[in-house]
Amino acid sequence: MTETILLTVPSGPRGAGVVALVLGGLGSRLDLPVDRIDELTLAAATLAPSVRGDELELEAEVLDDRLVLRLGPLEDGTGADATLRRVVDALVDRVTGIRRADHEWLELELVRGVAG
Amino acid sequence: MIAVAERRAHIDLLEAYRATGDRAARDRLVEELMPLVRSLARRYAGRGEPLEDLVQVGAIGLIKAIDRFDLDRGVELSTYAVPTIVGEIRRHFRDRSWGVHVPRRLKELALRVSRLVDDLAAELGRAPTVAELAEAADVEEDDVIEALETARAHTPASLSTPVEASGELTLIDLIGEDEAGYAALERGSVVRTGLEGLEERERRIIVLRFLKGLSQSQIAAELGISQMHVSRLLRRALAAMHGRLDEGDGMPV
Repeated sequence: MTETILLTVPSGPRGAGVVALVLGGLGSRLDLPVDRIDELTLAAATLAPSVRGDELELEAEVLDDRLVLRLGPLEDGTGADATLRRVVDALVDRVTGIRRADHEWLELELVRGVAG
Repeated sequence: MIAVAERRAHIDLLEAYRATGDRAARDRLVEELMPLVRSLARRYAGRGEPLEDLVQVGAIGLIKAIDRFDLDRGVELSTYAVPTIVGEIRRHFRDRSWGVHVPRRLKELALRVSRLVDDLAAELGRAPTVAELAEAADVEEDDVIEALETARAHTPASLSTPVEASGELTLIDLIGEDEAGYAALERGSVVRTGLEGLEERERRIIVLRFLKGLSQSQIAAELGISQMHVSRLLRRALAAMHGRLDEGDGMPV
């Protein structure tokens, strides 16, 4: 069963806390170890300063064996930033660049059972 | 008021930095003005944040001031830098202020859960799940999630925090040098400026995680600290990096 959660938060400190709580809850449903949930949260926080405007939009999809997080809209070129990608790639199992409403987004995926 | 000779030296260093991009000149200028940063940081000491952390964020403000300073302004650099340094220190407090109001019950649970993460990791050979932590702590899963977030948001320990009773050995001593690793991480990056702006110790923990590929648990084991502590240090290092890259109010990591 797939469950999708949409969230719009300020791209500041208060937003960060909300995102961490939501991802904690979703990671818990998948029975992910806490260090992997932590790294997904860290990946989201790492990308947050690259958000266009003041609001961070998150779309979290909980599948049977994985958690998919789509995050945006991002400044153009965010996904191509070598260091940023290196950091985010290390924190989750898969990172894919996508486009929505003519803006750049990133899709992050954590798979249950894959070592962090 | 600073001495004329000192002011002249500051101008010379600034001109050298502006003309050639000479980082050594900027570093020297930062060094010269660090007593000002320390003096300002001390005003905010005793409010729940380690003085060394306040000095570090104040130094970020100083670098921003140096980069923005216009030699034609007709004011001294030190005068110009004060509001930027103070602003950076205040921003540091503001970013962490929500943690100040965390109820005692939650603080205690955060501490207990942090310890349980390490205890269960040692027992299970992997990081525990929220459900396992909830069972061990005899609380609801939601309480664990909240406690974990509280633990992460808690004031991160400084890398200069002593890790032994004598106080002589600090966390940064354990992390060690890895200039080659840093250079490799930095190569080809469009955020070079951000990484270059990090303190040496902040670069090192980034290298351990993102270049050497050590997991948080492995770094924790190697350094003899908790996984939650590693998590906080990573956030701190990445936040410092963002501080260099973006002067706006980004989400703290």
